[in-house]
Parts: sequence; C-alpha cells; structure tokens
Amino acid sequence: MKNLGKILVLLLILSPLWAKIKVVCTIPTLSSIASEIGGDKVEVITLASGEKDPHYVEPRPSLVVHLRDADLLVKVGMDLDMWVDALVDASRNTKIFWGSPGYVDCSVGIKKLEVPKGRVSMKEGEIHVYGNPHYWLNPQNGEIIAKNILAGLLRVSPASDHAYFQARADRFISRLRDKMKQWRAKLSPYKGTKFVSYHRSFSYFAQFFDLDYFGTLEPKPGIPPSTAHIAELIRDMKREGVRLILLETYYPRKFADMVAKETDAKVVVVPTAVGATKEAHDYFSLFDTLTSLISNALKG
Amino acid sequence: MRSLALFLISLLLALPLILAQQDESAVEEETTPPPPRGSVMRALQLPEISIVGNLQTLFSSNKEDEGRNMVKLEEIELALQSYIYPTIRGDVILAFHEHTEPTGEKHTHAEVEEGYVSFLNLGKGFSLKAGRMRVGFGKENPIHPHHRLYVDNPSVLTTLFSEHGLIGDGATLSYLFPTKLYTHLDLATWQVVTPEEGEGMPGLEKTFNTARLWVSSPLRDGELEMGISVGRGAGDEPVKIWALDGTFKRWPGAFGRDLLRMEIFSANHSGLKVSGWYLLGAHKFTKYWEGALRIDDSELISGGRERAISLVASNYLTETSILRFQYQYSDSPNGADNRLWVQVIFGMGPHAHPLE
Repeated sequence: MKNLGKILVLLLILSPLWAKIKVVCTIPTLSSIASEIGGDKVEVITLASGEKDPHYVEPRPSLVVHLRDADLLVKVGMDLDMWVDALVDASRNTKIFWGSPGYVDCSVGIKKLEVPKGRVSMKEGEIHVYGNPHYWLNPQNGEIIAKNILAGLLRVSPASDHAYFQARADRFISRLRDKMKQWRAKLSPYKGTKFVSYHRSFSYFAQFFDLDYFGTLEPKPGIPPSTAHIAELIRDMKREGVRLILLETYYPRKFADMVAKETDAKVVVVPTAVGATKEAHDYFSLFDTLTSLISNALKG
Repeated sequence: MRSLALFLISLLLALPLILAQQDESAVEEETTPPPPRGSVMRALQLPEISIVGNLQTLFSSNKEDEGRNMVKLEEIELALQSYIYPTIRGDVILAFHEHTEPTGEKHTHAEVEEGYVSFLNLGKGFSLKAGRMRVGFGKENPIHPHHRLYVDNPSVLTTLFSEHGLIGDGATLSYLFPTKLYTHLDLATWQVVTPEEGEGMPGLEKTFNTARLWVSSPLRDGELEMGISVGRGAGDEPVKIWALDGTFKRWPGAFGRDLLRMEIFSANHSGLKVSGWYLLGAHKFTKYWEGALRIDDSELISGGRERAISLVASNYLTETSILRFQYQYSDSPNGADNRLWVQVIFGMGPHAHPLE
C-alpha cells in the first residue's frame, strides 16, 4: 500500500514529462504545419473547417473549451481570424493571450502584400489594414509559418523536447524546399498567365508562381459581384485574352460560369486551404492539388 | 468592527487587480506580433472606436404605433473598446436615441447603455465584469438589438423588460467549469436601470439578483446550447423571474447557417403572474441573405395575451451593415395589427462583441 502511494506520487510528478502540448490552430492549414513540427509530442486541434471561408467563422461556446486547455494558440493574424479573439477572452487562458508565450501569430516575418496606404475605410470593401492575409499560398511563407510555430513550441515546451521539435521543423523545411522546386517546375510553362478569381485570395500564390493576377469577380473585397463590374471584367478579359478563372471552393459558381461563357475562359475550382477538398489534406497536398488542377486546365 | 468591514470591502474590490497582476510576467514576448482586432488606432493608443446606426421605417395598421409611416433614426450606438491592462478590457457603449415623453414631447437622449470593465481571468476559471451592462438573463437580452436577427423585441421580452431590455448597474462573477462540456455559471447583482418604474414587470425597479447556467455541446455539424436563468428582486415581496433557453445551430455549406431558438419566461410579483415564450427559426441561404420566422406568445401585464408571427429577410451588405425587412401579424386585446419594418443597420469601425 505504501509502495502504491509512492508510485502514484512519482507518476504525478512525472506526468508533465509525457503530457502532450495542446496546440489550437484557427485553420487546418496551420494545423497541418503544427502537426509536422510537433509530431507525437503535441495534440493539435483546429477551430475552423477548411471548407469554410476563414473570414467568416461564427464563434461558438464549445470552442472555448479547446482554448481554455490550450498551451499554444496558432493563428493567421492580419485580422483574418479575428473571430477567435472573443473566444480567447472567454477562455480565461492567459497563456494564449496576445503577447504571452503561447500566442503565435504566423504572419510575423511575412513580407505582406497589398497593405493599404493612407486612409482606410469600407469604401474599399472589407480590406484588411495589415494587408492581404492569404499568405500561406506562397509556399516560401510556409517556411516562415513553420519557424513561427517552432518558436512558439520552444517557448512553451520543456528543454528536453527542443531538439525533437527543431529536427522535425528542419525536416519539414527541407522537404518543403524540395517540393517547391517540383511545384514551380510544374507551372513554369505557364509563367505570366493572366487569371481571375472570385476573391483576392491568390496574390501570394501568383507571386511565387509568376502568374499575372488580372482581376476578381468581386468588385472590391467582400462586396458581391455587380452587373456593371462583371460586364467591365468580361470586356477587359476579352481584350487581354484572359482564359483562366480560379474559383475558391466556398464561393458560388454562377458568376464564374457567367464570365467564362462570355470569355471562353476555363473555371477551375481550387482549394485555397488545407481541408477545402479531400485531396488537399495537408500543406504539401494542398500545393500538389493546386498545381495539378491549374496545369491540367492550362494544358488542355 | 466598522473599520474591519471597510478593510474587507476594500480588499475585495482590489482583489481582481491583485490577481491580474500575478499574470504580468506572462506577457513578455520576444517577437512582436501585431495586436488582434487590428486598427491603426492602436499605434496611437486610442481605443477601438466604432459606430452602429439603426435606421427604421415602420408601416403599421395601428395608429398608436410611435414613428409610424416615417423614416426614423432609431438609435446611434458609439462603442469605445480597449484593453486597459493585459487581462482587463474596458467597454463603453453610448446610445443616442429619440425619446417621447408622456406629454408627447420628443427629446434626443444620450445615455450610457453599457460601460463596464471585464477582468478576463481571476484564476481558477473565474472572471468578473463590473459596471453597467445588458443583464445576462436568458439568451437574447444580453445581445445588442442591432446584432439580433429581427427588428423588434420578442413580445415577452418587451412585456417583462421594456423596449430597452433589462439593463443594470452591477457585477457578474463568472465561472467556467473545467469540464469537456462548455459549462458556464454567472452570478450577478444589479441595480436595475431599465425597465424604469412603470415599465416592464413590477418589482424590477430595485435590486435584482440573477444566476445563469449555460451549457453548450457540439452536436453533429452543429452546436446545442441550453441555459437556465433565475432572478430574484429585493424587498418583502420580491419579484421572481425564471427563464429557459435552448438554441441549436448548424452550419451547412460554406456560408449557410440554420438556427432554432426558444426562450420561455415566467415572472411572479405580489400575485401578478406573467409568462410567455418565443420561437425563432432562421436559415442563411447564401453569404448575403438570411430568412427568419419568429412566433411570439406572451401574457401582458395589463391582462390578456399578445400573439404574433413575424417573417424576416436580411441582406448582409457587409459583416456590420444589414438591410432588413420584417413583416408581423399580431393579435392582442387591442386588436389585430399588421406591421412592416424596413431597417438599415450601418456599421463603421472595428465593432466587437463578447461571446454571445
């Protein structure tokens, strides 16, 4: 009986050594990278589905439970996932409050595109004051995201785990660099190709693959397509010979089809985040899928 | 003895600050992520400033309806919100609206609708809010009118708490249970601000103590929330109110949302018993359009019942700007009425709401 007591006390003392670090990510893309780095030593939970537009996620009480127990919060930042802020406040978990060791904003260190200058208002639509937040669609930024998550894990984990996380992050980055060469080679014949999308989701993607972002079906971010804008876009696409429309999985297809009919463009429905389609189940397969869909469309 | 009591009260008031200071070491950061709820105003150390306007036109068959057949600026809400300490938030919401005196004279009123500090973490799952706020009694009362899915209040809420809802000066101590199921308990005490004397349920104009238990669980691809609220007034014959609420939400498709909500209220004061309920169903068809149906059934304090059915269509121009149409047929002891509201809600700035 005495020995049993000793064993229980020992187990209690040692339990933190094998307790997994609870990582809560706002979107599955970040969860994919966090899982790659964290391996068996972390438990990763995702708050939003990859099938949804990450701008519009309704905070719900059950998500608070995940945040209450989190050691690390990993978010996109740049106001994309600001819906998580009310949940963090409700969680009472100061470990993941802004500025705490468990708070990871993956946009730190990203070279941001389309940062508005001067006065910002809704006249420009639902723009983000910190710039376009869809930065994970440039795989080079995947490396920065990984480094941010690694830094967070190192802050909240015991020193004995640091070499493990560092090695896994190095392996992820090395694999990512190899894959980037493949992805770039796959789309290199189509450098400079002009394309249109529904929302301005592909700025970072176009930057990496040297594609020419011609325009969007939305006249301004978050504003639904108008007849006048669609007519103008059709006219401009015809004039410039734009033949590709990339449509995010969560937006309606009718406007893209309407434009495609008038311009002979191809509509390619593509995932913009991990989990948006079955094929895009992690960060690598997201780009495998994207590059395959686009190259197949342009080949034909 | 008096000094000891004063000392204990002072200690109690200072406790949230003392506990909050214990977390100060946790906010040191080696990287510099931008603050959440981004705003260039952060750089100037100004609070987040936002304005929500509520513009309405009511077409009604009832000639006694105030503001009938005219465009009316119902309310302007000015919100100033900011962290005042790493774990403490301050929220001030000023409301400007037109008020008609019993004499028929109209005045524009500016009032503090809400003004409170939130101690987000007192440790061990506790948090505290103190100041003036919409009382966390039932599901809809704490929600700001511009954030609801319809134009007018459900009849039972107006009957018990007046048009403005139940607002009080007081404090809420909240506890988040360490369970897998979201379980949240609020214990609060209030000096009631609205309903004013002569409005709402008699007996509410004094001290009112409330408790609310809120449980929520994921269910398939949705979420089921249940709540129970109880309230008790002061005095020899205190007003007693209880409420049950249930909400099921699911999010089919990319932008869809289905919502089903019911609240039941029962109040009792000096032999006067009033009860009522409403049922709300809503379906979001696309990112921009949502339809809703609400059925109201409430006893009236003056006697009799009011029953109503409302159909609502909302067009979301942006996250904070909405064009809404609501048709209502109601039947009360005063007769049957048809009403049509056209509402425009326009928002400017980074308006934020706590978890609702």
